[in-house]
Amino acid sequence: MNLLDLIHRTAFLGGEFLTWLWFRSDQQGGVFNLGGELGEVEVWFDDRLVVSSLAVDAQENLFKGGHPTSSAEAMTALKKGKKASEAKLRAIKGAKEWSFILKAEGLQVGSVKIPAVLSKEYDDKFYERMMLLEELDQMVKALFRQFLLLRVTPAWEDEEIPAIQRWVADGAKSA
Amino acid sequence: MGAFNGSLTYKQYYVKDPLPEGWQDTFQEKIVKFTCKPVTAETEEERTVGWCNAAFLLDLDLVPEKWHFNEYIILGLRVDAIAVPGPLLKLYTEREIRRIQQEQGREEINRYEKAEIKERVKMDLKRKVFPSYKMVDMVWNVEQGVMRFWSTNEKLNLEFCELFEETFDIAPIPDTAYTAAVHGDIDIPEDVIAQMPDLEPSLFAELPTYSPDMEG
Repeated sequence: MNLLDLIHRTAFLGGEFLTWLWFRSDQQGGVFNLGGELGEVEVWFDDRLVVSSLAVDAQENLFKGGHPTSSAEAMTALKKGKKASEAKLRAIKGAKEWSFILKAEGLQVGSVKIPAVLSKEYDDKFYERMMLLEELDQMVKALFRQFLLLRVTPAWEDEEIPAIQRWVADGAKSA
Repeated sequence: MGAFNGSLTYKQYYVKDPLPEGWQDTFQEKIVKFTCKPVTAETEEERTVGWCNAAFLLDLDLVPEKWHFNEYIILGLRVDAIAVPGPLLKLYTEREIRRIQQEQGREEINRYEKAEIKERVKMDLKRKVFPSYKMVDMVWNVEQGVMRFWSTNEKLNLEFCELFEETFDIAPIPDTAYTAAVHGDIDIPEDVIAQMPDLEPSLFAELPTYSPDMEG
């Protein structure tokens, strides 16, 4: 398989990762221990969520405003087999807070609002902005690492999937 | 909006090939070669794509001090375009045809003459139209092998990747679930990466099982 095939073949993992992140954030009170230098971070789902399906011509559900991840409508979309494809997130590490949109496809981040930059000089400001972006990327990738390492173990099928299915069923029930 | 100020939206790539020895000199040569060629009324191309100084898009005199900052290579992808609006061209071509008809007392102008008139009118109008400039920042951390391009437009990203490869002789790899595991420096064991292509999508909901009774 060439690289392009491998990218396409594994693209669905982006949606699974984002939905798993939603589940875990809900279950763990937003707290993730990423280990190493990153340590503990908080990840919260904010006021924008897109839920879609890999099926051809399937409708996409866009939820805006309020707190869509706790809405029965969003859970109902999951119950119909859809997965999160885009979400606005907030990541908090110590006194620093990032706001960004994470797209499942390609794990791309967008509309990033970084913590306030303290530097005044043009060059220093640039380095600080890049450092904060790199820090965000490290956090997202460390979360993806947690997901991926779990995804390939038997615990994924035996424990995580049933737990997610229960969470979806309970969430949709309140509709 | 871009690397220097404003909200940050970009597409991320990995550039993991080792840089060639003396890369600063090689890159300087190639960056100059692929610097944006401005479009004017006289240039044949109506759209050009090339590098510029990310700090000032009109600056095309690219020297290392303007693109190499510690571990970063920072360049602007500049897109120049000059276009005469179609309806305007049609109108002015018609006016010129009428003028010639009246001047030469002719009723008919053949299609070859019309095409020639249209081209001439287009050249005249191009001299009166300002070219449009667009710049997108590119920031490449050569130590981390991570590059960010401040646009998510698919077509522009394709053009950018082409120019990047031509200039630096390295193909950028888009950041995806698979490439993040391989190139993201997140310490994913080889055997996990090897399993990724064999994974099948999981069901996060218990979908109703199909039974013939469900029909009708």
